[in-house]
This record gives sequence, structure tokens and C-alpha cells, in this order.
Amino acid sequence: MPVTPISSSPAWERRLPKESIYIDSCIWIAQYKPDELTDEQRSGISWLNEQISMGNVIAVASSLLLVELLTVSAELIEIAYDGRKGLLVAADDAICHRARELQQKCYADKQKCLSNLDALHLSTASVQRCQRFLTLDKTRKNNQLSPLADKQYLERLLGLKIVDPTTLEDQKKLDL
Amino acid sequence: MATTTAKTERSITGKKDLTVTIEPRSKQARSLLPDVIDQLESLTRFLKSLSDGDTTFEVISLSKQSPMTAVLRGLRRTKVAAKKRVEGRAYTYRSNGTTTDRAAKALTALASHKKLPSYVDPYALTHLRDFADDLGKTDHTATVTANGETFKVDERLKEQIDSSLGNIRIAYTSYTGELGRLNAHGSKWSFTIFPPAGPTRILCYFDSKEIEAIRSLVTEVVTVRGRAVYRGETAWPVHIRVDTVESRKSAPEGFWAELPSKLKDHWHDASDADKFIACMGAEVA
Repeated sequence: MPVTPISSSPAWERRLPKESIYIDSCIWIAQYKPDELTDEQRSGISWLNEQISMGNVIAVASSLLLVELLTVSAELIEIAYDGRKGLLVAADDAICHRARELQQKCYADKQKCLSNLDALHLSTASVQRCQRFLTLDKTRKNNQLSPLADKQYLERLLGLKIVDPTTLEDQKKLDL
Repeated sequence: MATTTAKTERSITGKKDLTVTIEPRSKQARSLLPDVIDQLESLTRFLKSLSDGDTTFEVISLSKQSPMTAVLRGLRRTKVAAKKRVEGRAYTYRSNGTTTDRAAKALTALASHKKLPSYVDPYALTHLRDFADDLGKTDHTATVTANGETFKVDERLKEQIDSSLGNIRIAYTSYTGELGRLNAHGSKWSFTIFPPAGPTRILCYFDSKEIEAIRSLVTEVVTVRGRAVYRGETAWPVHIRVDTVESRKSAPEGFWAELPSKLKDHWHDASDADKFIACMGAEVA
């Protein structure tokens, strides 16, 4: 007897990419001013853009981009993060709660805090379970923690890898 | 005659099937078919959320007399190789008992206040709670038999689920993903969105008046906005009560690869931009 399901699933299939990478807003900023990047950083970012274009990785970002990239048209950001190759995540209260916890934990452990924006970006990446967090941020402002300078501590806390674009070329070895 | 029916039922019911018996708690309570369909819908949602693949459920036996008994069988959808297709069917459904095992383990853990298995997420628990809740509203109770064990679904189970789920939080938010699994029967019409990263799926309830608009968006990538319900510490909602659904325009082919050159085109007038950045501070470009 042929078997007929009681509620049929639509005929879609999910082809999940291998990895989701959170792209910090400073990477967008750096792409305007490529002269300020080293050759390795430029080549790393361009390699990542190709990987996203081919659908091998998903680019994730926070909706904070809309206020951090005020001179870029919102339309460009919306198209880039179209829900297919890129995903713009709403900085909603779940993310803000996580950012608050992260800041409190950092202060309890290190007597230092993350900036509000860094905390929101990192907690978005963590909530979205991104495997990597791509940033250029290594300067500690006002005795605060910075993602690259305090990489090991934050990686352990968040369960993701914080990477500089210069190391992105090495990702090729991971067969993204 | 009764013996023949029993034999027939035994022969079609497998070990890995799940039996649910719904009975009225009082003589006044009646089993109305629409209520029973709603209740079974919540139960199948619970079972679906325990399965890790493309699993659906078939009612292989249904007794409409009181108490109403339904036997559900899990079916895993598998792709058929092009050469082996019958009447062009790209998929076949095979009996799969994994979900029944998982349901039995989840119900055992809940009943004994033990740690829930990792595959039982708040999403699954909410559906089980809905099932218990729907039964309570119509003054019914149910028993679920899985893997030879029988579990009672009643107010007590609902309390156990609530203590396991934690507090309810509600927030207005948005999620983006592919729209699928449109469900337009029962009292709560829903669809599911599948974000490309992050939570694997988010259940969205919508107003039945919007059915035509929603139907036209199946398989499209959409952004839904609405009231999201979170349970306990989880950062992903168990469901969203949808206010708006917006279809997303797709990025042109090769968009990301050409991003640096596109950014130059979208960069506003340089002198204005510099003044603006100076005014806003270092974290704005």
C-alpha cells in the first residue's frame, strides 16, 4: 500500500553552508580604504568575499551595521545581507541580554569591560553560533578589552574563533 | 468480529509506532473532531521537532469511538535516484522509529524530573505543552504509548514542562529565512522559517486572513516581524506571532565578490562623509 504522509512537507531542501562567519563592521569600513590594509589583509578579505559569493560560507552581521555605516546606502547593506548569502540579525532584547551578561562577566573576570558595540557584535555572533568572528579591532581603548588583543579569553568565553583577515588565507586549508 | 479487527490492527501496528489515546475526563466532555485534529496537530509538531531529518507522520489507525485512539508512524523522506523513480516521484517515505524512541526518552525524563536529552529543545517542549494545554481546554486527558511504555499527558505533565522551560519572555523582533512548512489547518495557522545561519527553524503563527499572501511566499526568503516568545535562557524564540512578512530581494550573482567596487559607488560625497564621521566619532564610517 503506498504510504501517504498526513501533512506533506514542501519540496525544499536545505543546503547548509559549511560555516557562518560574523563580519565586524570594521571590515566593511576597511574595504572603503583598502590602502590602509596590508596585502595579506586585503587578500584575506577578498578571498572571503569570493567564498560568500560562491555560497561556501554565510556572512552574518548585526543590524547595528545600519547605524555604524551611515555613509553607505542602506539598500546596499540590505542586498548584501539578503537572507541567502548574508544574514543581518536584529539587535533585539535577546542579543542585548547576552551582551549585558558578557560585559558583566568580563568585568568580574578581568576588571575590564567591552565597549557596548563590541559586546553587541560578539554576542550576536555567539547567539547565532557563528564559528568565526572576523575583525581588525586590536586597540584597547580606555582600558577596555578588545576582540583581537584579548582574543584567547574571549574565544574561551564565547566558544568561537576570533580571526584577523591576515589569517583568512589559512582557512583554505580548512576546505571551506 | 471484534477479534478480527484486533488482529488486523496488531498486524499493521509496528513496534516503533506511537499510540495516542484521548479520552474525556468527565461524562459531559465530548470529543469533537476539530478539537482532536488540533490536539493531534500539536502532538505531531512535538514529534517533528524531535526528529533530525525530514520526517513526517502518518496516521495508520484511527478509532473515532470514545476513547479515541490514533496510531502514528514516523516516515523519513528519502530521495530516489533518477533511474529508480516510479511515476516520476523524486522522494519515497520509509518507516522510521527514531522519533518514537526520542519521544519515549523525553517523556521518561520529564516524568522522573531527570535531565532532558539534548535533542529536546524548548521548541519541542512548547509543542508538547500545547498538546497538554489543548487537552485541558476540552476537558480531556491523553495517554501516549511509545516503545512499550505509557505516559499520561495531563496538567501534571504541563507543570513539569513549565518548570523545565523556565520563564516566558516576550519581545518584538525580526527573523529572516526561507518560508516553508505552511500549515493551514487546525486553529493555529503557521509556517516555519529556516534562517541560513543560527536557529535551524522558527515557528511563526499568522492570521488566517493572510493565507493567500503567505501562500505566495512559500520557498521565498522573507523577513518576519512580530511578537517573539522566548522560554528560559534560550536566545531563540519558540515561536513568533507574525505582524508583517516581507519578501527579500536577492543579491545579484557575484555581488559579494565585487563588494569593494560596489562600495565605492555607494559611498556618499567624500567631503560630507568626512565631516559626518568626525561628528559621529570613530565607530562610524
